[in-house]
Amino acid sequence: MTHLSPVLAFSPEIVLVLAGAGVLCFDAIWPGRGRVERWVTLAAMALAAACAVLVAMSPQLYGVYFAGSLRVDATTTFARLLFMATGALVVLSSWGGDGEGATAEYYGLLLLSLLGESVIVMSQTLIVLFVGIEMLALPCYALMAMRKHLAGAVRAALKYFLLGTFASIVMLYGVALAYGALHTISYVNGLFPDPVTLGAVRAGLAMAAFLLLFAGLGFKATAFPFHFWSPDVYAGGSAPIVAYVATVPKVAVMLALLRVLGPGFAAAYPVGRTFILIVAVLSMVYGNVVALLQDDVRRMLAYSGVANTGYMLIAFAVGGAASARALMFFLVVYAFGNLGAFLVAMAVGPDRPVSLKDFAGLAGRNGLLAGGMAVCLFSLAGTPPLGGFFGKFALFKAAVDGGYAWLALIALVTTVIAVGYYLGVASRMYGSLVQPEETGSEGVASIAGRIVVPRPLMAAIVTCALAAVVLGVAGVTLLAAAG
Amino acid sequence: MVPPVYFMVLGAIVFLIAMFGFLTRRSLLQALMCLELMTASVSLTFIAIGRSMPDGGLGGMAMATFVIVIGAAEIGMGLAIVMLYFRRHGDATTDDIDLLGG
Amino acid sequence: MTGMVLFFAAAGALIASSIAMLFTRQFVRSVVLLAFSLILFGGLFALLDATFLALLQLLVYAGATTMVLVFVVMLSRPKVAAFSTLLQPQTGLAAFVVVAVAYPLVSTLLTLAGTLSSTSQPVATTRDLAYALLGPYAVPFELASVVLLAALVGAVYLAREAE
Repeated sequence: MTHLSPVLAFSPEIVLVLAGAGVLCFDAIWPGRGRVERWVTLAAMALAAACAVLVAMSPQLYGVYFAGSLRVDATTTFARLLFMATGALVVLSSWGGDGEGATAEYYGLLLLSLLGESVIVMSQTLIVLFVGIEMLALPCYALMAMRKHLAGAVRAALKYFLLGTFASIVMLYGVALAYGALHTISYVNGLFPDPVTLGAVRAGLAMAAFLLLFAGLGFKATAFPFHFWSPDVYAGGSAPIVAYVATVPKVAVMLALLRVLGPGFAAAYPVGRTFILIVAVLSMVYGNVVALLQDDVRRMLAYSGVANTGYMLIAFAVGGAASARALMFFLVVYAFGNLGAFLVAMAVGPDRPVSLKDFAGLAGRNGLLAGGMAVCLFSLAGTPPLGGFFGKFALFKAAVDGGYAWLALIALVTTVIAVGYYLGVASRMYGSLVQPEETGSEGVASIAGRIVVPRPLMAAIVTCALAAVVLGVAGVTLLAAAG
Repeated sequence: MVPPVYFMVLGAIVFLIAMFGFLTRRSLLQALMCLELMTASVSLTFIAIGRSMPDGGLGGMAMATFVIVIGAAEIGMGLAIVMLYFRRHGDATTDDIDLLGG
Repeated sequence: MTGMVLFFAAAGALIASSIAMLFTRQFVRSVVLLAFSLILFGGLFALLDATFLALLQLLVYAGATTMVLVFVVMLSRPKVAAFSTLLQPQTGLAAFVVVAVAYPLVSTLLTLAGTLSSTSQPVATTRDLAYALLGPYAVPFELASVVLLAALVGAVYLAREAE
């Protein structure tokens, strides 16, 4: 390692922070309507992704940096590439028009929040994790309220801010307890050591700290008892930001949780494992059942997000390296499927609630849009041969291999429930002609008209759908390789 | 010297009072003020726990610094959003937000 | 002994002013009580030998954020009615949550205190803190500046009057 290696290892983050600050400065000098900034942002994301690939190609750069603060490894590379891809799709989806995409602040804050995502995944101490979570969250609060004339967006931002900050402070209290119980906040080797070395009393304290930390992170990931903010915020917020907030923070938090807990947590701490199991099962059951009852599509997706968090938590309850790999595959699939579904909801009804009715006959009004939605939804549902199937299959297989056949069974049953509401959307899109009662008086006008989608948004949706298909093919290959 | 545990318990009490306030007050500004109190109690807990560590409280103090700095950033952002909300609605209750409703 | 007296005086005043802050019907009174509580927090930090943090607390919280809070109210003039109603239906639920958290939290802290060493170590000075912030804590220190930048840009954009 030379003294330059930290600069090289963190080059993607350096690109992000320079571009974020640069975009803001540029607008201050040459005020525009975001025309230059959006290209700069896309270029910065591409450059950051290229840097991430270069870092991955020189493994001697992998390691722990800055007195055990940040770690660069394969998981970091994975996260960097995934975040840049999703970030670029969000930029595309707000291209043009007079929405938030017409301001430089939008791009600057988006880049800084992506930097926060990266920090969350790389962090190796709880205080860096906390700073990363705030670096992600603060721009998101502002982005959510960016279109000030939309009353719903401002209200959503306010709710997101109040509850998000509350959750952060609860998590901070957990950090304080963890510091007291473990005498360290570093998790270079996992935060929680073997309870035998810790002694019974301190292991008990570590559990109290774990509960508070998990509550704070569970809030960001919308796990069951901590999810209650998400339907309102998703339904009211500004569309591209909702798509972003509903997808990327969850991925970051899950990867951070993998690092904090380490592969051995579930086996070493039965109390913590039981807690994760309860949250996972409740998330799966509650999320899917309530999603079935929703009429607003964004609310439906919010509850589907709760359920998907439940599936992700299976990996933590089971523990081990195999389930961590399964989780990472599931995260990619989920990110593209969820982003795609939210973007279609945005294309169908920008700036207003989208009900199931709006999807009636979508296939006739814009075939490509309906096709994209169908692929993303079936991927989320876990239908073969799309990516979602292999994501869920890998997770459920990890559960069965880990001795949790009953958990896999519950997950399977709730998946069937999920197929119900995903099919509900699909049947409306392709079969509205036989359901004339669905088209109410105000629905007629929109049914008749063809939906025109801006090209960049369409490109983003098609990319998400293609990703679901490609991940399906990749899943087949991986499965074949695993025998 | 006062034992640090006294400070920890005091921090917990104020944290809980502020938490109760956050969940029950109808005024948005009071909700923000409760968040400030909660942040301050967490700093107190950090310093008190750090004080009984072998490094003479250095770790706790360093972490409390970040809590104070980030907490101030949060409050600044929160006030901006609340002000925007006031301008749109001219009212200041958390009823419209329905904090605990799904 | 003096420390004990100071601590209990500050603790009593802090709890009283925090509760009073919640139940007062006037916004200005509420802000003054908040400022008082935050100043007391500064005093408590000083009692724990964290002099730098005590100053930081006074400057940032008791000074700056309280002032901004007052400015927001003066600039946007929310309806007075918003500060008059005291209780709302969630009170029962909130009380339940708080009581449910209170017992395990306090007992955890008491257990925690038992596991921590009670011998008094040499106190870390502000100089030590400065070295720590630019040494082992350099990464969160630098990242915090990015967080502040994001908060600043976001807050200015949102609070700006003209579109």
